[in-house]
Amino acid sequence: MRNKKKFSSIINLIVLVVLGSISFFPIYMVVVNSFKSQDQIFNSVLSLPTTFKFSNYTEAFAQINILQALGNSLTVTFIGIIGIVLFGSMAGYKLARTPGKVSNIIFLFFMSSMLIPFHSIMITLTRMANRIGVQGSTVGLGLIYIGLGVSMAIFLSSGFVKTIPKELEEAAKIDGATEIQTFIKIIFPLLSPILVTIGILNLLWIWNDFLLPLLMLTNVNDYTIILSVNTLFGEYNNDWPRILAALVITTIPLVITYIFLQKYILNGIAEGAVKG
Amino acid sequence: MKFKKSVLLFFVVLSLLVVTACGSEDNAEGGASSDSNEVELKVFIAQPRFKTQYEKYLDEFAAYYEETEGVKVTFQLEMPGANEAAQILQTRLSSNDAPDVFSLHALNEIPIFDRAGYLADLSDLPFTENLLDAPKNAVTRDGKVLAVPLETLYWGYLYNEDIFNEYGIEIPTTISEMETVINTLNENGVTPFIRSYQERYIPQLFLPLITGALSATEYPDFFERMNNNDGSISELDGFFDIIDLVDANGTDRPFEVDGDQGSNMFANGEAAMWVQGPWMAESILNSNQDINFNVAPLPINDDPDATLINASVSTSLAVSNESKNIEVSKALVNFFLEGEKSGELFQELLFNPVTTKHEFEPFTWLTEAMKYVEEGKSYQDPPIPNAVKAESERVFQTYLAGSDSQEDVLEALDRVWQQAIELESE
Amino acid sequence: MRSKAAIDTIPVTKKKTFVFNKDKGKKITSFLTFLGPAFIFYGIFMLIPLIGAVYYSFTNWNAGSQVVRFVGMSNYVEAFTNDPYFKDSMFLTIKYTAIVVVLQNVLALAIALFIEYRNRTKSLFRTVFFMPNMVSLIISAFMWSFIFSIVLPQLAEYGLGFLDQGWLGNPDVSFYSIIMVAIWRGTGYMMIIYIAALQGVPVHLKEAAIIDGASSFQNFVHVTIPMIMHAITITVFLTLNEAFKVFDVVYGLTGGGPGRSTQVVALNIFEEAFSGNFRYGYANAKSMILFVIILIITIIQVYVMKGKEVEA
Repeated sequence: MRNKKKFSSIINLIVLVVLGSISFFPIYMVVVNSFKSQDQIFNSVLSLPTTFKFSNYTEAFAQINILQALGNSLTVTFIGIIGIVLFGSMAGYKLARTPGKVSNIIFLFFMSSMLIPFHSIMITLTRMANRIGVQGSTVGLGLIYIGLGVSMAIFLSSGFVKTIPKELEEAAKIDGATEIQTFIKIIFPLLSPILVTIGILNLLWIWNDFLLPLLMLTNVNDYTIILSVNTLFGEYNNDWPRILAALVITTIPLVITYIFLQKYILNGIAEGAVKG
Repeated sequence: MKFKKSVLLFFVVLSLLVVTACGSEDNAEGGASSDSNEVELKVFIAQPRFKTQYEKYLDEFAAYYEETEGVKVTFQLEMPGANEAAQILQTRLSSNDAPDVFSLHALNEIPIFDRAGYLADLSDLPFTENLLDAPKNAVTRDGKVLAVPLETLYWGYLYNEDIFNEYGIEIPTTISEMETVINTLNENGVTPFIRSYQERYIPQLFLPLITGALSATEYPDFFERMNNNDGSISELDGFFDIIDLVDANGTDRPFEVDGDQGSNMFANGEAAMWVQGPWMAESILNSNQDINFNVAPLPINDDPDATLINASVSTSLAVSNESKNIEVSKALVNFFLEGEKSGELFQELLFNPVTTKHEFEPFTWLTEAMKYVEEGKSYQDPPIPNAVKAESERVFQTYLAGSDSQEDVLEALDRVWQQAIELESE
Repeated sequence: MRSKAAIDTIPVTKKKTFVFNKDKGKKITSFLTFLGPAFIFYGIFMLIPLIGAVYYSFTNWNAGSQVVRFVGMSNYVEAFTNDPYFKDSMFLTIKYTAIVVVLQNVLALAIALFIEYRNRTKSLFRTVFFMPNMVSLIISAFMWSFIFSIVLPQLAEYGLGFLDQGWLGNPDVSFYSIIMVAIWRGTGYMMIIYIAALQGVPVHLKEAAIIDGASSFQNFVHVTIPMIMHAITITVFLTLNEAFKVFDVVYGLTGGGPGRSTQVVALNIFEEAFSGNFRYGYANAKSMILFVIILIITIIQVYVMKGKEVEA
């Protein structure tokens, strides 16, 4: 019995290590090669770098003004997340508490948007954004993300609201609180697990998004970090050392965030899916 | 019941309101008024690696313009990566969001944009008088100059000078001579050609090279007839000869080799020739600074007069017809060629001289090509519809991969050509 | 709306309706306040562009046209009858989706099971498998493009000959290269969901089954799987949706090539709109067709699987 368990334990470990290495391999390759020269990359890609060309990093840093780009990404993501979490939870709460045909129709309305391929609305969205003046700024881009992301938030939060007993709201009403006060002081805090989920899911999505920012940001100084890295890909040729260095730099903020919030992220995704 | 109805009604009304709000024809904001002393121009240039150079030059213009016209100009510079630029520009132009000044590919995009009415007429600007002939032709349509040429290209194929010298090889003037060259190389253990088919645009290069050379010699009215739906690409005798010849004598695993890797291989002498253009120079030198290479015209048949250099113009600057600051925009694009430091800018951007005012020497690898051009041994990059070029990218790949036959390729190209012409006349 | 006369003749009812009106008014206001912002943002940035796109799908709008003409259903007819590339891309996408949905879910569940089995190194492995999901899609595509064209061929020289394939250039192989990258990236996310679901399976049920003489395999199939069915519904929904719309991975790796051998539907639509003749109207029509197909398949999938879910 003991041996059998030990055996399966070892097999388990081997499988996980092999698969894990495959999973990690591309990332490892990028990091290692980010310290080489173009010629070395093409001819001896597997070897550890003989000299560490830190200049790849400094040059990449300078060429795409990384601090500014990071700031831009932060602005867009921050605005998007706040709006999505706030408006999404408000709407999700109301829909969950107002059963009936109208609510169902509105709910379906929001849900179906999750199936729409982005390219379908790309041009018309650009037109709209241009007309109402949200194009051409990071703040405007954040606002657009609110519109695009609020559906998922409604879906997740309305499911969660159903686990909050109605007695709490009724008690607050008796105490004379308005509905908004009830929402802010009681409901919102209780929703925090799912709100963290929503926040993190949207963080990953907005931070890494490519096409929408490209369409909406018309000033190269407004470019998010992903857009900036993409400018390193030339028309005819690619400066791989710099590109790889930049790729490493882009992913570091996310890795750091992940390490700090590991518990929340994983719980969040799980709860979101399971409860939704 | 009523509660639900009125809520539904509210939402319907709200939606209608928003729809009508965007249906109304007020134009986009952004960009200051055109009569004050301050102007903001939206500039779109798809060359982000030269961001500092362009910014510097825009500042030069602002200083110059303030001095001469007393108007202060600021810029919003958009520089997307080259791969997405066409798509972004298209979207902007189609959603009434056109930048005041934007870069485009002269030969591929001027016809389409002109048809849609996006391009302002620049014929009365001073720079047009100093333009060299070849670039001027490339940016002129129906007698109007529609863009300022920046990037000129003279190409055929690249060859390694050192290898050629080592084996005493002379530049071939016909396809038979090319066969001899190939034999010499093979006998000495040198692979003749780099084959790099992973990036679609590289096999596609054969299309303008072959049609251009043939239409300049044996088939002078080919393009006229094609654009009137009166011809077929299968008329061109021996279309596939050079393609097959190169394909049969090249490096391995061509579909795994993209432009960068091809540059690396060429720079390290893994083959003597590469059907590519001088725009790869930077990449090649990046891999091996000491290589000596040059540009030669590609022979496509046994007529030595058909072995010509392709002269083309790619990146150019145009002014949007809908710009609210059209005078300033025109002044800006003019300044790109007429400004004092124009020559300096062109050298920094690795562009060739384009006007008589540019007095700097072309690059070492272009000296021979320029000689050909001066001797009249060149043709202008032919007016192939953009859709046909795009289709040829794909069908040449499938042909070289062995899944399409020659008939398939020609039929596909004809079909797309027809479709493009029909669409144009709608 | 009741007439004033009717209200006047029934004093009791009058009082009721009056209170009801005020209450109703309050209800409406509150509904609007809470839903308003979300709906406005959604309406402006999602709904209206979508309506616009639907409208344009009935026109011949293209980049070179000065005038946009209404052409009715002809775009839709053309998509179904005169567009072999579109049809091919549809079949390719269906094939791709079937393979990816199955592989991704099986793999994610398997890894989740393996990780749950462990005691101490759970967190480490979770991180390792989730990491690919944090890299943006377009960047993953470039990373893998680097791996396929430069790294693997060099690795092959060390005796792993089978790595020497035309990963991106060989039409037969490139299809699988794309699948590999999609799975590499997406499995981590699904794995997390499965881990949570597995943690929610009541231990006493599994123990009861063992006492009744069930093997671990039977235990798995008859106890565990029904208990995690709701999670499976969700992961299948997510993978199905994402696989049908796949774009970034293919765009970054092969651009649909060589030729059109890896051109999935989303890429076909993209090519229609942004290269060649730039036919936006026609591309929009094809987009709508794709949307409807995804909608139908998703509805069927969720309906069927919801029926199999089991309460604890």
